[in-house]
Amino acid sequence: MKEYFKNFTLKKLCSLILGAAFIAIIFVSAVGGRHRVLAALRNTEGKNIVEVKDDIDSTYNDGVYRKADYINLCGLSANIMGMKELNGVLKLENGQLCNMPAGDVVYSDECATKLNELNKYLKEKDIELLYMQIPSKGGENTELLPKGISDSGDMLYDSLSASITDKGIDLLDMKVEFEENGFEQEEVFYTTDHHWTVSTAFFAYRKTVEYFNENYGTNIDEKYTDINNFKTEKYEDLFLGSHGKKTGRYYAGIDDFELITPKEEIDSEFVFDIISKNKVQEGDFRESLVYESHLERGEYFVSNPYAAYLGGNYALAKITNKNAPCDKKLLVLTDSMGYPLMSFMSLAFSEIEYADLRYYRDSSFVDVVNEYKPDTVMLIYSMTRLVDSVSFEFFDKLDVGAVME
Amino acid sequence: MLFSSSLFLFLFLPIVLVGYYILKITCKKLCNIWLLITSLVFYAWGEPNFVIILIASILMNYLFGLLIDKYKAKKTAARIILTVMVVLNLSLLFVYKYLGFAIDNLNAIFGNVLPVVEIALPIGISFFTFQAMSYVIDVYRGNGEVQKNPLNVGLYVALFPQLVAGPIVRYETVAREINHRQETVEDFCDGVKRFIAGLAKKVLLADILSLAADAAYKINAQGTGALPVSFAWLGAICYSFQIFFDFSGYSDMAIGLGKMFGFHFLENFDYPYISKSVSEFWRRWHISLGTWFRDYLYIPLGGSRVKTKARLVFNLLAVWALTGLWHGASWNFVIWGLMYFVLLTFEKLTGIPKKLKSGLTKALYRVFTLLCVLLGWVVFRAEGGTEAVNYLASMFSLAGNAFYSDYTGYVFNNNAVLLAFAVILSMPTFKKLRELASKNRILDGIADILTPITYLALFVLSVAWLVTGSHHPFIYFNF
Repeated sequence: MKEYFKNFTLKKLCSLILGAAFIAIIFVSAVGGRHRVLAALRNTEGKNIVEVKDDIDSTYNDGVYRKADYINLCGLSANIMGMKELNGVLKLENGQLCNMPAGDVVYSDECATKLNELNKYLKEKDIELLYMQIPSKGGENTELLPKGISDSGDMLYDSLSASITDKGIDLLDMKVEFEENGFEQEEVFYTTDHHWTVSTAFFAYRKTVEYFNENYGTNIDEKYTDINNFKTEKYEDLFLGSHGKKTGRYYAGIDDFELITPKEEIDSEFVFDIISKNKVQEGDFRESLVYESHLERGEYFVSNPYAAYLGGNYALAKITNKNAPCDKKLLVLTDSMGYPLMSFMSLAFSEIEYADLRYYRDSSFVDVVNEYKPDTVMLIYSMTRLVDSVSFEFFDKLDVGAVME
Repeated sequence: MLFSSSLFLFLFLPIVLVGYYILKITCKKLCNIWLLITSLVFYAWGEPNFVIILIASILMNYLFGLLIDKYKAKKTAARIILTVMVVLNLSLLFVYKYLGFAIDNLNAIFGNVLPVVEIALPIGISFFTFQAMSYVIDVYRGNGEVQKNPLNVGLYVALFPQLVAGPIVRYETVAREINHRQETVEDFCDGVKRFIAGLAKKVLLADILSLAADAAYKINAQGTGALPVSFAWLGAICYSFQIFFDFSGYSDMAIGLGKMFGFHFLENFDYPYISKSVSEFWRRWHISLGTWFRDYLYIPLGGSRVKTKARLVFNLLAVWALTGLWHGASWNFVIWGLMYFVLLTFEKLTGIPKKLKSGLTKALYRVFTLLCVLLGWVVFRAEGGTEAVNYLASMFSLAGNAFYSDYTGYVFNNNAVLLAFAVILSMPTFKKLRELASKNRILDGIADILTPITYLALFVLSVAWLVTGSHHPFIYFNF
């Protein structure tokens, strides 16, 4: 060591700084990331050493110290290099992010066939079935895809719509509605998330009410769908969506988030019964259905403002509005796309029970139908639901593990 | 466990370094034991079942080392022991790596006479078997002292920096350092620099370019004519860069890690893509493997100093067929090896390219060399002969395939910046620039200051890509 410092040159100093900085980074990271290891070491009951090792292996990367900063840096460097693809996420020509298309997919009529069986079953019980089909990002508009990338999304969407219509199932085709009302993709979806915006969900709510009024004999007053009877609060740069969490805030930016809530004139008293979690909330729209904690500014990679409506994924829940203009009972099958939409729909309908087949395992869906006895069953599905193995299984009790979005 | 993983960087390495240097201060004798234990943990982390094979190989070769040393004076006995050692080591390798392949081929010839076996391949078995054989052979040749302590043999064979992906460290290289190494601040810092360079090559170049290569092979697998000519070339080029930066990056990390603990491994890559001939390519690519085969097979067979050309050709055939086979139990590796046999025999027998005089002919031969290497990698990467033939046919527009597709343009644009860096870093560009800068005091000083900044930036960026992306292929599982 003494020898080293004897003829101490600038080169040696710089080399020493590098060595010291490297040691500092790996040791600080080791200490900062110790929680995952300690958690795995504490949770060893019934596990052998290989299983404990596998636990550490599979979770360590998730808990890397300052991981969010690294992801941001990765996204920034990818942006500088002009990369259109990062970590399974594609950047469209309009700057929005979407899942990398899966490539050429052959349409299968299986889902429409299962839907048709459900429709027949419900018809025998005088229950209406309405299928709301939501397009996915990217596939909707091939002009937005980078040259050379193809997406079967449009083909699948159109094939399914045609098949559903042919089978005589009631369809609310949101792609048609968006086109007819001049929506651009930037308005429909968040830049960094796969969900549609709250404003788009509000538009879908308006179209749902119109459909019910035109086709199911309801008479819901226009005031319940008039945006002037709602407050819009804008939260700028709040939302780093699902795609953004994979690519960082500097790859495509951060989304603004809008919270739309009813004004006093159309507000009501609600009971939000999260059946699968044995939890009940009561109060007006904001008190019972809005989770304001999700709107607090915090870690972009942890927060999920989209869950401000209804709070998250539940296997089974029910919203009751005693003062609703329409006394129809709705049973809805949906995923997270449905959160804001169902929140708005609860202003119009007296009861909405909803299930998510990605999580619901207590019985089959038709068992829920028979127990709940709705007037209308509604499916609010995006194209993502076509490729999981559970969302169209209506007659069997599911026993597979939860399917993630 | 991979070097390019957060677990290695932020858990394993800090623990090993802390333990090692605390022991160095408090109880130096335990340093080697610590390194051995942590190396076995490193191997067992990825291969909990096969660590027994590694330990068995260590013990077997330790005993052979003792026996050879005991009977050194009795040439015949020593030779018999050496032969038995070689047979047993190669048998171990054969059973785990080649038995299934051999049975499949015998069944194909004689019609399902043997039961099909599926034996999992222990990672790194080719590396540590060759390394263990090197120990015994070097003891036999007197190129290194026999180790009385089995733990030291274990350390030599299993040292984690070079265990799963080389370089194949010859015993004579590190024999003295096992017991008499000196860890210095200068070596440690050099090791850090080397490690970071390797990590950056692997994560920022190899792993990302691998996506383009994989995409090309995926399209190729869809059927004849599916892969456009331009994408075939793009995919082949990306794979050539992938395998170079992955393999050389891993070697850099191994050399860097070795230095952190006072070991000095020899270089394994020396800018192979600037080679002027195929012979030069193999003096620059996977140097440790080439020299292993040269010193332990080619020269004992007589090398180039043989009486007849037929014997020379035979020696070359033996080396290159086995070099191909070493890389994997599959005919495409053998064909790849034999391709080099043909090219190297051509160069040895004709004296080309030494005979080339004009700049133009030398340049053309250099292009020819690079082309052969590139086409060789296509065969190397393919899973089977049909895939290789289809891919090559696509490259030369012999598959009824289109010349271009928009997807080719997309992939190229997505990787353009990295490809540019890959080309630059395949040449000793920065080395030359640094040498030039060192001739001017001010520039030398600026270069000194920029060096740690650049390396730190590369390290942080590498970690960023490491923790973000999920695509970090380990391409040595065949070896």
